[in-house]
Amino acid sequence: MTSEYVIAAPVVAGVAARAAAGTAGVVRLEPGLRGLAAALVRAARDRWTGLAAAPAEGVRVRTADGKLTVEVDVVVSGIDQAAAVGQAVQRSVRREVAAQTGRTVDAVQVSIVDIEMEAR
Amino acid sequence: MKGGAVTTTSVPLDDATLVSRARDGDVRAYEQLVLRYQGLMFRLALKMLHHRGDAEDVVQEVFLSVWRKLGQLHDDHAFVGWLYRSTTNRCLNVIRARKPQADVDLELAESPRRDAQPEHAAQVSGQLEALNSALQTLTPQQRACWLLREVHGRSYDEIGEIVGANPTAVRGRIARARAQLAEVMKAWR
Amino acid sequence: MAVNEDYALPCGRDVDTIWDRLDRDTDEHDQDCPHCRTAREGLLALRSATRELIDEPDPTPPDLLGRIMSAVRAEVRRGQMLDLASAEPGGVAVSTQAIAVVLRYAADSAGGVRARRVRVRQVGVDAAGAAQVAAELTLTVRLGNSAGAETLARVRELVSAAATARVGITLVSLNLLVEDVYEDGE
Repeated sequence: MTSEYVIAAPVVAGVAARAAAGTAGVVRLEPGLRGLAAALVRAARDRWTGLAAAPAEGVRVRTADGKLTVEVDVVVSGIDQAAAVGQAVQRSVRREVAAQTGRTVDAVQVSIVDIEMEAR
Repeated sequence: MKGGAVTTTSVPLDDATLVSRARDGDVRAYEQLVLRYQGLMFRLALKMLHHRGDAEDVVQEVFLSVWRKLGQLHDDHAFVGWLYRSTTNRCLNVIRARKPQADVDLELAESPRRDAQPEHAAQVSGQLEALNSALQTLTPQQRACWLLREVHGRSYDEIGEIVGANPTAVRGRIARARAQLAEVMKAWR
Repeated sequence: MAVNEDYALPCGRDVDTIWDRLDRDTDEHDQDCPHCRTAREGLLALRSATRELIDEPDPTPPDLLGRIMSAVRAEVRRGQMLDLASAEPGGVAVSTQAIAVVLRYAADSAGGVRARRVRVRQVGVDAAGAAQVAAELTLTVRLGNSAGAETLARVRELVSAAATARVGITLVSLNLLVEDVYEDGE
């Protein structure tokens, strides 16, 4: 069962990235931190099987204790309330991953790293 | 330099300025500090632990934990001493953790690590190889004091603060280390 | 050759002294005493090997800096992320920089005023789990702006409203510092 997680993670990440980017109010995903995954995997004491499946897209997929978590970093526009857009991203990621891969995402962690207001 | 706005710093900043900026959250300033000192800390950890993977882990943890606690540093000039203290302590902890028994005396020589990652990929001279091996015959405390003195050029006072001992004890450890190393090197010749 | 606790050789001289005198001319004792001669030899060999050790090429792995700085940056972001309310598991968080963008924009829209520095920090959490923040804005005011108090009141209103409506956090305290004036055209 563990091997199933490892193979599917990049697919989940790809679906999640597309779902997040396509959510109304999201300007773009933020490219992730290269090497962070390596640093996480290296720490033996870490119980997470860290797998930065799509770090270049700003998405990280983690599995731990049978739970599947998706982390996504986004930039949103100032038109809609940031909190509302964030919640919309959570919902759309969960929905699309279930619809396209059959996998259940237990948690979607959204980080809004920047907000772009329209130019004055 | 002609008049006008300076947009880039080409003059390297001194440590204290970088530390001060890093403390205010300037990540780029901290990166300069890491660049300056990661080599020294890695060399120290590598000679202490005789294992590349362990040395890398120690140095990573040192620079991350120092970043986290930068707000607690009151004297910007004490940064390097703090790096040395943190690195040395972590190395001693790693060595302590390698021992099978619970009671560990760092004054006694340690058992060698079983899955040794060779220090060097490339060939080293016989003399250097002999010294590297000889270093592992010292007690961890002796090794630390000797490295800090002979390779890193710290004063007895500074070493005392790094390892938590008075300068006299430091002097004693270094003398014993020298005698031990000299004996091994002479035998090698 | 056994080294005794005081690092003194059987002849009475100690290792430390021999080390300190390595480069000096040897005296009669140095030349005659087998203990001292042996010690000198060993220490000379040690010194030569030590120089080699010091001159060793840098063994630092080239990717170490990247790994350290990735962890540091992740730490920075973690420290600067404030929670927003969400009914979905996993949470939504927003960076203090993003909040600053919104507040600056709101202040600027008051007219006759420009925001320079914006500092935001979390001071609490509301019932829904969203952050409560204190903010400090440094402003420059347009020269000739006679309705100063009114302008500042408008800034407060706009900034406070934006925190709730554009971000989803509550502004519990707002410090406005007028630092400078500007003229139209600047």
